[in-house]
Amino acid sequence: MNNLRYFCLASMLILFSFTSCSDFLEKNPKDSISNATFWKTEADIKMALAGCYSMLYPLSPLGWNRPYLDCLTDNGYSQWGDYNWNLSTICIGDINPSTGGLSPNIFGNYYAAIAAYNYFIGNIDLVESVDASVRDSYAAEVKFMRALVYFDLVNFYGDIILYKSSLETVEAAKVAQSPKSEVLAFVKEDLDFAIANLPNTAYAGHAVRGSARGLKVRILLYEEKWEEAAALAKEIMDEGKFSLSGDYEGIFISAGQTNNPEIMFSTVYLSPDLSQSTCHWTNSNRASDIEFGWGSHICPYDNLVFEYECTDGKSIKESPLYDESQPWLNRDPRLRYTIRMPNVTWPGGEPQGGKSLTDYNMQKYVELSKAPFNYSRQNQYDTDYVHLRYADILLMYAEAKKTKLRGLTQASTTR
Amino acid sequence: MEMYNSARLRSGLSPIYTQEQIDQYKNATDRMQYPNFNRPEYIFKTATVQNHAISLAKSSESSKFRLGLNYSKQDGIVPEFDSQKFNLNLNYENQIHKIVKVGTTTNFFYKKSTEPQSAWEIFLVRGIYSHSPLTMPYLPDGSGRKSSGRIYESEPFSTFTPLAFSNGNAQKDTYSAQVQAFVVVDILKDLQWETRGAFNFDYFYQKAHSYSTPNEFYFYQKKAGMNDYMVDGSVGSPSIVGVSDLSTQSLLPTVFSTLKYNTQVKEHDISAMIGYEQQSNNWRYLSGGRTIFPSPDLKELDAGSPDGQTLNGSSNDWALQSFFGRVGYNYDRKYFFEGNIRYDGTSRVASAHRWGVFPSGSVAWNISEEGFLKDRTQNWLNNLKLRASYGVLGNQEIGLYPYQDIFGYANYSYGGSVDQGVLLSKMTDKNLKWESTRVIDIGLDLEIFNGLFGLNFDWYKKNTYDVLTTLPVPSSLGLIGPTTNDGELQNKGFEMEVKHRNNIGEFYYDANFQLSLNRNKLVSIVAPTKGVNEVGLPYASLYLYEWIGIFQSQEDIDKSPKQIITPKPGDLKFKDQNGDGLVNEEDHKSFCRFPDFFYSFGFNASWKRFNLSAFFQGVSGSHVYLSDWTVYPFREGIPPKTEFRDAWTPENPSNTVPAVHEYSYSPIYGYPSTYLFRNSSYLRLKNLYFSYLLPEKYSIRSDAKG
Repeated sequence: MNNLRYFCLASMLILFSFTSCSDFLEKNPKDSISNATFWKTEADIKMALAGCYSMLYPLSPLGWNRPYLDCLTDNGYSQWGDYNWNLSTICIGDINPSTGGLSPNIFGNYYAAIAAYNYFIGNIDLVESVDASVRDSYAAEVKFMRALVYFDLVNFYGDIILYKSSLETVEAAKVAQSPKSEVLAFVKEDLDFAIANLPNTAYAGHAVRGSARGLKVRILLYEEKWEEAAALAKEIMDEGKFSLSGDYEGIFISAGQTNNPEIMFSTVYLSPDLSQSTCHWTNSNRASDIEFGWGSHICPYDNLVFEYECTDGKSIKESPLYDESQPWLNRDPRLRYTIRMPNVTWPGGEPQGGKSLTDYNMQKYVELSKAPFNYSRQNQYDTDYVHLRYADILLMYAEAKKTKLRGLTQASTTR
Repeated sequence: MEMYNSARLRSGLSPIYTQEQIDQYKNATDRMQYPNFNRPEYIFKTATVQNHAISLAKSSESSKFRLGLNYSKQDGIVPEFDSQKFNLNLNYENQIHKIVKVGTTTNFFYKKSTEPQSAWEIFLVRGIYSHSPLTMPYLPDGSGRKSSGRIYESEPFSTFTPLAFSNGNAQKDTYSAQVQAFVVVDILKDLQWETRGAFNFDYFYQKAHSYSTPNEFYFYQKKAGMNDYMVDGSVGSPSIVGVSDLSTQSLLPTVFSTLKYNTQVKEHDISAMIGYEQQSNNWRYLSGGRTIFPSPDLKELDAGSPDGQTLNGSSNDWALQSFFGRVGYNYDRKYFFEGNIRYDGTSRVASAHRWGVFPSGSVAWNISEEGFLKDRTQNWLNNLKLRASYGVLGNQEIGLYPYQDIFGYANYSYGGSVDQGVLLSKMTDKNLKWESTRVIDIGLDLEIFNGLFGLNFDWYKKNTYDVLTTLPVPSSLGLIGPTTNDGELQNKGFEMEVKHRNNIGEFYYDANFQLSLNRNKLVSIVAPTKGVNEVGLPYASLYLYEWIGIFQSQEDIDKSPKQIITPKPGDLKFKDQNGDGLVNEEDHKSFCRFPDFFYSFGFNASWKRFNLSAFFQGVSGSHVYLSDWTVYPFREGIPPKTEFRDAWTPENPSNTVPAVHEYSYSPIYGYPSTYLFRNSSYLRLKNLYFSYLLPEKYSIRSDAKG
C-alpha cells in the first residue's frame, strides 16, 4: 500500500516536470516570415530589396499613371476626374479636406514607401554574413529610391515631415514639418551615398550610379544651381554608359524597353503576374493601354501640341513649313509618338470606352501592337514607366549651360 | 407592376413596364402565361427530422459502463440542403485498486451534409424571397425549359433564379473524435489526486462543384415579333466554376490535473485544491481547385485541366498553460469563505507580459442557520443566504500572432522574371497583454414555506479593461496602427429568479420566472467615434436621424424644419434635434441597440404518471438596424414587403409607411435613420413537453436494460 502511495507521488512529480517546457508557449506564424527569423543571409536582403522596389507599384505617381499629373497643367485634361485622383475637381480650384484623390494618394503611398525604405536601411547591417561593401550597394539602391520619393514630396508640398530612420512608436511619428531646404540637403546626402556605392553600369532593372547622378542633376537644376548641374550632367555624358536610343517610340512601349540604352530608371512591370494591373491589389482593371488607348482618359490640349516645333527648328508661329489645316506635317518627329494627331487612325479602331474631348489622344505609352484593348486582357499590359532617360540628361545639360545649343538640342534628341 | 412604375417615376427614373404589359397581366385568364406566383410556397417544403438513439449501460460495484449510439437525419426546407449525423459515445470507469480508479470518455462524431455551391448560400434564400411573382420556374409553353426570372429585357438584372443553384453543390464531411482518459487516486483519506488527459481531433472536408449552363435560361415572355423565347444571358454563368476541394484538420491535446484536500474538524470545514492545465492547438488546411472540366459529371480534380489551377495551404497554432489553486472554509455551515487564484500563460502575448495573475474570492453568510433566527423561524424560513464575490479573469481572444512583426509578400520584377519580396506593413505593440475583466457580485437567496416562494437575486458590476483596440495613427507613419490595450467597458445589472412550488394531493406543480437587466457603458477609449463609441454611451451605439412621421402635404413640408434633401409629400420626416430650423448632420442622435431586459418563465405540472412542462423566453427592447435591402422596395427588382400595400398616397394619408419609391430615392435613402432601426423584441415558447411514464411491469426486464 505504501509503495503504491509513493509511486503515485513520484508520478505526480514527473508529470509536473514534463509540463514545464519553457518554449511550449513560444509560437510563431508558419506561413509568413517573422522579423525574429529574418535578416540572416543575402537572400533575405534581396527579398527585402524587392519589397522596397514593390513600393513603386501601387497606383501613385511613382508608376505608370504618373502622366496624369500633366492634367493638372495646361497640357491636358483628365476626362474621368473621379477615377483619376479627382484631378478635374482640383483643376477648377475645388480642393478641401474632403476632396480626396491625389493628395491622400500621394501622402499615403509615399510615406508607406518611406517606412519600408527606412526599415531596410536600418536593419540591413544585421546581416553580418555579407560583406559591408555588398551591403552598402544594396542600401544605396534603397537610398536612391528614398531620395526619389522625398524629392517628389517637396515638389508637391514644400515643407514636409522628414523621417530619417524607422520609427519605434506611434508618438515618434508626430513631428512638425521640416523646411524644404533641410529635406533637399538630406536627399542629396542620400544621392551622394548612392553615387559612391552603386555599380557604374547600364540600367537593367536595379538602380545604378547613372540613375542617382541623373536624379541629382534634376534636383540641382530645380534649385537653379546651374554650374553644379551642368558639371554633373557632363560627368554622366563622359562616362558613356548611356546613349540615345535610335527609336523614340520604342522607349515607351514594352517591345522596345528591354536593354534600352537610353533608359536610366523606370518602374518595371512584367506580364502576366506583375502587369500594370495585376502587380498590386489596388490596381485591377487599370493599365495605360486601356486608359489612354481605349478610354481616352487623358485629352491633350492644343497648348501642348503647339509647343512642338517644325522640322526647320522654328516654332509654328515663325516657320513657313507649318500648315494650319494639316498641323501634323513637317513637325518635330516626337509629336506623333507622343500625341495622336487627327490624321492618324489606330489599328483596332477608335477608343471604344470613351472618345477624347479634344481633337487629340495620348499616344505615348499606348502599345498599338496590343490593340484592340480590353479588360479581359489586362494582365498583358506591362509597359514600364520611364522616370529618367539619357535625353533628359542632355536637355538638362543644355538648359544649365544656357548657351545657344539649339543645334545640339535638335540633332541629339530627334533621331 | 403599377407599383414599380410609380416608384420609378417618383424617384425620377423611367418606368419599366408599358401599359400594354400591365394590362396583359391584370386582365389575364391564363395564369400560366401571366402568373401571380407564390415562389416561397412552391419551393419551401416541410422537412422531416428523424432522430434515433440507443444506449446500453451496466454498472457494478467496481465498474460502470455506458455506450450510446445516435443517428439523425434532417432534410432541408429548401432543395439542395440535407444532412445526416452519426454519434457514438462511450463512458467506462473501473476501480482497479482500492485507492485507484481509472476511466475513459470517448466520443466520435460524423456529419455529412449537402448544401448549394458554397459561394452562394445566402443568395439562394434571397433569390426565393426576392423574385418577382410575375414568372414561374419553367416556361409557359410546357417545353420544360427554365425561366431566368425576368420577363422583359427592360427589367433590371436581379438575383439568380433558384433553379440556377442546381448547377452543382457543396458536399461537406465533418469528422470529430474526442478521447479522454482519467486516473483518480485517493492518496490519503482526505487527499485525492485526479489527472485527465484528452485528445481532440477534428477533420473537415468539402468538395464544391459548379458548372455553367449559359443557354438554359429564358425570358418568360416572348419579345414582340419573335416566335420563340429569347435566352437570358445574365443567368447561368456562375462567377466561380469548376471543382475545389478543401480539407482542414485540427489537433488539440489537453492535460488537466488537480490535487484536492478536504477535511472537517468539529465545525470547521476546510478544503484546498491546486491544479495545472495545458492546452495546445494545431490547425492546418489544404485547398486546391481546377476550373476547366470536359463534362459537368466529373468532380475529381484529376479530371480537370491544370491550366488556371489554384493551390493554397497553411497552418497555425496556439498554446495555453495555467496553474490554479483554491482554498475554501466554512464554519458550522454558517460562514463561508473561498479564495481562488489563477496564473495563466498564453502563446499570443510576448514573453514579457505572457503570464497574468487572476485572483478571486467570495464570502457567504447563511443567515437562516444562525441560532437566533433558526429557533424562531424554523417553521417557515427554509433558507436565507447573503453572498458577495470579487474576481478578475483574463481574455486572450486577440488573434493568434498579434505581437510578432510579420512580413507580407510584395513581389517585383527587375526584368524578365518575378522576384519574391517581403514587406512589413503593420506596426506591432510588443507590450500587448491580456485583456482583463473585473467582476463584483452581491447576491441573496431566500426560500420560505417549503418552496411556496423562492427568490435568488444578484447584483453585479463588470469592468473590462485593457480592451484591445487598433490604435489610430497619422498617415505619415506609413504603417497600419498596432493592436494595443486601451479602452474600458462597464456592464452593470442584476439577475433575479422567483420560484414557487406546491402540491395538492398527487398533483405537483412548480413555476419560475427570471428577469435580468444589463446596462452597458464605455468608460474610456483611445479613439472615440462621435455618437457610436463615445465615453458614457453604450458600446456600438448608432448615430442616426430620428424619424418622426410622414409629410402629408406640401403645406406640412413648408411648415416643418428644412431637410437637406428636398422631400415631397409622402416622404419621411425627421426631427430637428437642436431646434435650429434645419435637419442636417448636427441633428443626429445616439441610439442604443441593446435590450432593456431579458426574461423567461416556465412551469412544470405532474399528476400520477403524467407530466406537462413548458418554457417561454423573451427579450424586450432590443433593436436591430436593418439592411436597406430588406426595407426599401424594388432594389434590383425585388418586390416590396406587404406593408407597402398601405403606403402613403394622397388618398391614404398613412403616417407609418412612406409612398412607394425605388430604393435609391434620395429623400429616403439619403438619411440613415431610425426608420431602419426596428424593434426586435420577442417572446418565444421554447419547449412544450407532455409525457407519460410507463409502469415498470411493462418495461423489459433483463440484466441489460435496453
